[in-house]
Parts: sequence; C-alpha cells; structure tokens
Amino acid sequence: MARIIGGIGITHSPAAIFAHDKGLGGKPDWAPFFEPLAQARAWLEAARPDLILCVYNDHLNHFFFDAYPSFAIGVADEFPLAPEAGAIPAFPPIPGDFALAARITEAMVARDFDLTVCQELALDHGAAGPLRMLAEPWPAPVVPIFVNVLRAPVPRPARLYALGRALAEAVAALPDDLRVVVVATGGLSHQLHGPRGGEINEEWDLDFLARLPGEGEALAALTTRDYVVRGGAEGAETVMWLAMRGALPDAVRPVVTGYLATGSTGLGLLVLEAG
Amino acid sequence: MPDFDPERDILPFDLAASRRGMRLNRLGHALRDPATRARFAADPAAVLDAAGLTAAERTALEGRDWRALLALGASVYALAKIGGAMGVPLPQIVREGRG
Repeated sequence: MARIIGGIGITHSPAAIFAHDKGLGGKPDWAPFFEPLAQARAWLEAARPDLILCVYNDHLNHFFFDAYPSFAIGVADEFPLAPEAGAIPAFPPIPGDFALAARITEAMVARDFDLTVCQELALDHGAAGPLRMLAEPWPAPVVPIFVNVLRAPVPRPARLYALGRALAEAVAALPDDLRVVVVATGGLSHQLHGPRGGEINEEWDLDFLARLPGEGEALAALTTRDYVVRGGAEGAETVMWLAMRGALPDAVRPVVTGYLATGSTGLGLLVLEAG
Repeated sequence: MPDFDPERDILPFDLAASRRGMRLNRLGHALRDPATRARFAADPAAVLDAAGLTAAERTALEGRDWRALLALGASVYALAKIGGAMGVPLPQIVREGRG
C-alpha cells in the first residue's frame, strides 16, 4: 500500500527562488531560510520518495480568467515550465506519471473532489520554484494540484484541509507500495497592493508555523477572511499548506522549520514527518 | 498583531473585478510570453493598440498609475507582468501603489 511519509510547506517567493538559482543562499542575510532549506533537501533525499504531490497556485502564467479552475490536477508524463516575465525558465521539464495521476484523479472523483483534469499543464514558479529549491534533478515524478487563490470566491480553508484528507485516501488506495511526499507551496504573509502594500505579519507567520503540526484542524476552521486579515490578501494563499497537513496522519513530527521575513514576504519552510 | 482591514486595506479581486479588468489582465497574461514581450519592447504602442484598452485603461497604464489600474480590475499578477515589460519591478509597483 502506498503511504504518505511526509509533507513540506515552502514559500514560492520569486526572491527566494532567484537567490537559490543564483547561488546566493550562502549569504548571511539569507541564512535563516537557506540553512533550514539545506536540511529540508537532506531530509527529502533520505526520504527516497517515489511520488510527489505538489499543491500550488499559478500566477496567470498558465491559466487565465477566461476559464479558471477552483481545483485542477495535472495528468501527464511531463510538465514543461511556463513562460513568465517574458522568458521560458531554462530548466528541464518536471517529470510526471500519467498512470499514477490518472488513478489519483479517479480516487479523488470517487470522493467528490471533481478536479479539473489538465492533460497539458505548464508549471510556473508557484510549483517549479519550490521543487527545484528542494531537489534538482527532481527525485520522483510529480502530480501537480492547482488551487485558485487569486480570484474570489476561493476554496475555503476547511476545503483545502479536506482536499488533503482525500489525497491521503487516494494515495492509500494506490495498489503499489509507494513512498509519497506532499509539498504545498506559497505564503507566508504578504500584501502586494493598497496602502499597506509590502507589510509582513511576522507574528502570525511564526504562529502558523508553530501551530500547523498539532493544530491543523483549528487552522482549517478559520475563514478565508481570517487569513486575509492576518497574512494579507496575497498571503492568504497560505491556506494551501492546510492541504499538506490534511494529507498527513494526526501524529506528525516537525523535522525542519525555517522563517525569514524579507522584502515583502514572510518566507516559510516546514517539513513534517508522518508518525 | 498588525491586522489588515479588508475594507480599507484590501482591494478584493473578485468576479466583478475580473470582468472589469479582463482587457488589462489579458494583456498581462500575454506579456508573460517571450514573443509578446519582444513585440512590446520594439513597439509598445502597437501591443497596447491590439489589447483594445479603454481610454481610462490606456491613460492609467501609460501614466504607470498602479492604483488606478488595480481599481480598473487589474490583478496584481497581471500588473507584475505589465510592469515588468515596462521595466518596473514588482517591489516598485507595491511601493508606488501605496499612494
């Protein structure tokens, strides 16, 4: 039986991804994020996953508002990188697994998560950035799961947690003996528009990181508005981490925690090990 | 805790904003693409002409009035691409958008 062995919550901040890509992570200013990131990379390497589920959001680089899914899943053997900022990032495509993704889709639909199925999907920095920060070359095929966090109405926090629960059941139903890791990207606090644009709520970010391991259900019981009030309009994408927590068993062990408030974003990192 | 006030600090990006901002957001979406970005670099007016913007949208865009563009329904992620094509990075848009 396949099982979820751990979960990772990680920012997809372009600044952090840029620092990673340019090899700037060793600079002292970046240490509070990149030192834990090195631990997360080591954990992932030792975990030897066979499959990665990546819960993320796109930033108008693949999807557009003409037809915008609330939830979508990539069912393909390969996911190219999406063009963004006028260039196609010079990194190889991310490997997928059509058969496993199809099975997961069937299991999700059987649990009333009727995901939009994308048989062609380009991944922007929301997925591709954290994936290459965590490992490169990527150690296992990826099943990307897209969430609308851009345009209201967005799925409720409790729905993200339920998505994680359903993913855990879908993984358990796979006939193969696979080791699965769930990665959720985004956050933490950031507000990119309006009179308070650029503000970060460090206190809330640290509270969220501390509480997610043991109080996932309580965090999932908050409203979308609560997340906006605490972490900013754009920071409300942090709810995607609830899917990661929901996918893990009740008993988890935090093995890596990292946080750095820099620029306009609270950069968060959390690795949870099941059991 | 420095709470954000959804009524005062947040411009909701909802279905009404998305409908209002469809032209601007489509332009932003197009400017993610290298070919469109190259066309914009060579001849911005031609790309803006083809975007079918209203006079108010065109004025706000050429005036780099980020607050006005947001009020016209631009997604901040579309603005990031439009700004990028105009040589204005997102942190500057965030700063200048404080008003």
